Amino acid sequence: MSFNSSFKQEFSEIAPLSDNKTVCRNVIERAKNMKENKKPRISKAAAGIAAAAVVAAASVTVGAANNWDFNSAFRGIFGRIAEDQRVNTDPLDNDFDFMKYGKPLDLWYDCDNFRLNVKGICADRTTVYFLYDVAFDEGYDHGAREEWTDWTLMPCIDKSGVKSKTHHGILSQSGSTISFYSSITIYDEGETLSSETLPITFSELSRSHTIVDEKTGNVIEDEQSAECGVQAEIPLDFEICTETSSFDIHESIKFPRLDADAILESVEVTPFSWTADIYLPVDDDANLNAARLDLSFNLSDGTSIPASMQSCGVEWTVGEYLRTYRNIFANPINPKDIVSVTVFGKTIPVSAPKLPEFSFEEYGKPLDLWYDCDNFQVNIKGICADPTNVYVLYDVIFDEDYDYAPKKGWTDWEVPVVVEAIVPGEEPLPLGRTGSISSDLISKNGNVYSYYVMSTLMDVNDTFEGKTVTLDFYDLARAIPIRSEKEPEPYQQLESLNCGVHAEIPVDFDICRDELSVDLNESVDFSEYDRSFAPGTEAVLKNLSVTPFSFSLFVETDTSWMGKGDGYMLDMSINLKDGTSLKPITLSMDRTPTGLEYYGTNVPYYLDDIESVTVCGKTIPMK
Amino acid sequence: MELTGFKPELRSAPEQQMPADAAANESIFSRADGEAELTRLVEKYSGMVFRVAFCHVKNHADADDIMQDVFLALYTSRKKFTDDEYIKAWLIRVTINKCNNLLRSCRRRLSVPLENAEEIPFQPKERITLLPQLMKLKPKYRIVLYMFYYEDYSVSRISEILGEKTSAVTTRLSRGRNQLRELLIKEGYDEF
Repeated sequence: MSFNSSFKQEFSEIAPLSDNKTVCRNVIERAKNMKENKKPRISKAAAGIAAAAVVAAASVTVGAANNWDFNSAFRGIFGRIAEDQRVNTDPLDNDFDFMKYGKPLDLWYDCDNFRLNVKGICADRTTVYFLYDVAFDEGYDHGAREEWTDWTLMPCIDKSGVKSKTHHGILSQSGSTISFYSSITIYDEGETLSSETLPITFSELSRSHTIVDEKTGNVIEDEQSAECGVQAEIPLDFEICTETSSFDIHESIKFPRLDADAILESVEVTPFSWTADIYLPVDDDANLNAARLDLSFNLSDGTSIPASMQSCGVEWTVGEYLRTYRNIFANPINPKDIVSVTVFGKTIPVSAPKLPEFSFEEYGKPLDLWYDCDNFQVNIKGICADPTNVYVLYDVIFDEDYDYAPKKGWTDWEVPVVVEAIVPGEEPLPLGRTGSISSDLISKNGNVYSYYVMSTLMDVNDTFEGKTVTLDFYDLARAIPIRSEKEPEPYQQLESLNCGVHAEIPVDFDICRDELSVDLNESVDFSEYDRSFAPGTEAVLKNLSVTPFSFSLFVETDTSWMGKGDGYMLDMSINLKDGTSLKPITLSMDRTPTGLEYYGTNVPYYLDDIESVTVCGKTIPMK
Repeated sequence: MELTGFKPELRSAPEQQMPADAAANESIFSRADGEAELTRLVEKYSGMVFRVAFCHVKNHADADDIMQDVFLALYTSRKKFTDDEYIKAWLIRVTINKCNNLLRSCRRRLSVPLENAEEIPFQPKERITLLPQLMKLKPKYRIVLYMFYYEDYSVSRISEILGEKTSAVTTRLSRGRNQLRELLIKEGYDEF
């Protein structure tokens, strides 16, 4: 019998459970409900979720028959790691859905004297977590022995050149079955879990017993082992957690045991793990053991999570004094809950502050403009503006039949949009600081991706008021970095979609005209914040101009030594009366013969709420 | 000088587009003969949509739900369909997307591996049992085998529908066939 005829024969017997009349009736009913509930385009995704919920409820018996709960099992893993690390287990998030970033496996392997069952996996980009059972064969002597260690079966990544560290232990033991867990963290810079499969080796199941010979004093180790030798190719065909919050900190800290000054440069946090980059200028490697980091993460609910150093592979790399510390969390967290970190007793705020109250509608208008493109639509939803900036919200709605879904290792869809202004009836007016700009992704819900785009700053002598804003959407694109043996340098493979949308929106609403201008006349020391400045370089903060959306600041200083095209960072925050401190979202700089002119944008707030401004450590009240 | 921000390369100049005319993209739902048209399309394609879904999710109940979701998407879509062949290709692509969404979602935990699932009831013992072996292949192999051998699509058409290169489809077809052959031989079917 040929493939062809077998296929035809067997597939033709696969028939839907629902008859065609039922399908039509259900579809028509759901379509009517969608219309009545006024869920237009976006409702496709919402309806999908609702349908998924219904089906999930109908399938519960299947899950129950499976007889193990993925989430509670993985909560067990993290709880056990917490115990191992002797850290507070209070912040355990019982609602955390591990299935979001993992899946059950149920892979069985026959080994000498036992069977190995790899049950489940979840992972972020650098750490993979496993659950696996060992079921001993009947008759094998596996029972507990006094003074012997527990059984161990350690998996490791079987890939040459990849440095990893495994932490593992026993979750539970029942009869002849032991449930193990493990976490494997990859330490190579730039190496992530992005391939199709993960090669894992389980080498040997063993336990040991150490005795000291009373006569000779020699240590004798006795071992019982059962050969495993399993080389498993674990499919990474689930959504690996790429949720990451990165915080640029750049704060001075002190390592007390080293008596050394250091700078906490940045912290990166995923739900499962953290990474801290620290500039620690210590040459003596003998001191590295003293370079342990006392770090904890403070959440918005007041909880503090110590970043334990006891196990789970804290390591640092030494290079140009920059050390990278890494560890996994005792319990998974939501990175967005982190408001500050405490390093050697010094607490440093890291999170984006709570947004001040602000009504965008006072300074803008809602829109509902639709544009059809190949494979997606664009819906411009709203605009607001002050004299120097405009902000536009829009959605990209991918066609149901386009494979828009996130791809492992690829970036999100990026949408370059050029924002300009025209005086009605004339050519486009270049903004003061021109340049092509990108949009930022706010959220994605099924096939609906929500973005915002902000203009570059309008020239100080002009305004958006009365102009028409033009938006040119260039091709949507996402990319994956490719490494090839032929090309030593990585390059990007692009998937792009033609867009070509051109929109013109008249600024015919009341834009925000509020502006606060203050002469500061305060000297500050830039050298503490930018090493390019020699200590003692005189710099005087002159005029600060602030709108609810943006600011500009002129710093009078000698610029003759500065390199052409060089940029110098400004450490600045605007402090509101409710205690909120806001850092600029974007920052630009112009060099003039007499000083540096900074321009930036900020989270919107009302000018009456400003209490002071802090520049390079100096806080100046705003009168 | 811009200290922060992303500067993408400008590509070809965009061609101006005007806002979509809603009336021009009328959904089947809003047409006078919408229900009749839906009935015709369900009659014609429900089996195919179900089989494509089943190839992916290996579960009758999920495949059935996906089939309804797909026809709902078709019914409410504002896409202009020029002919039934276009609709058929669109349905296959949407079905695969919905299957992928399902497999990524939390519902996955509630599915059971094929090995543990109920016996597929539609194969008498005396006949060749191709399907259980086919279901052991990766979804990317299953779908091209299905489209090639059951739907009689050419390799180039499959590559168009799936958005894959022709060479990729050929490779999957070849590998899928070889893997299936090995599985069948293991089961004692020497004639493959």
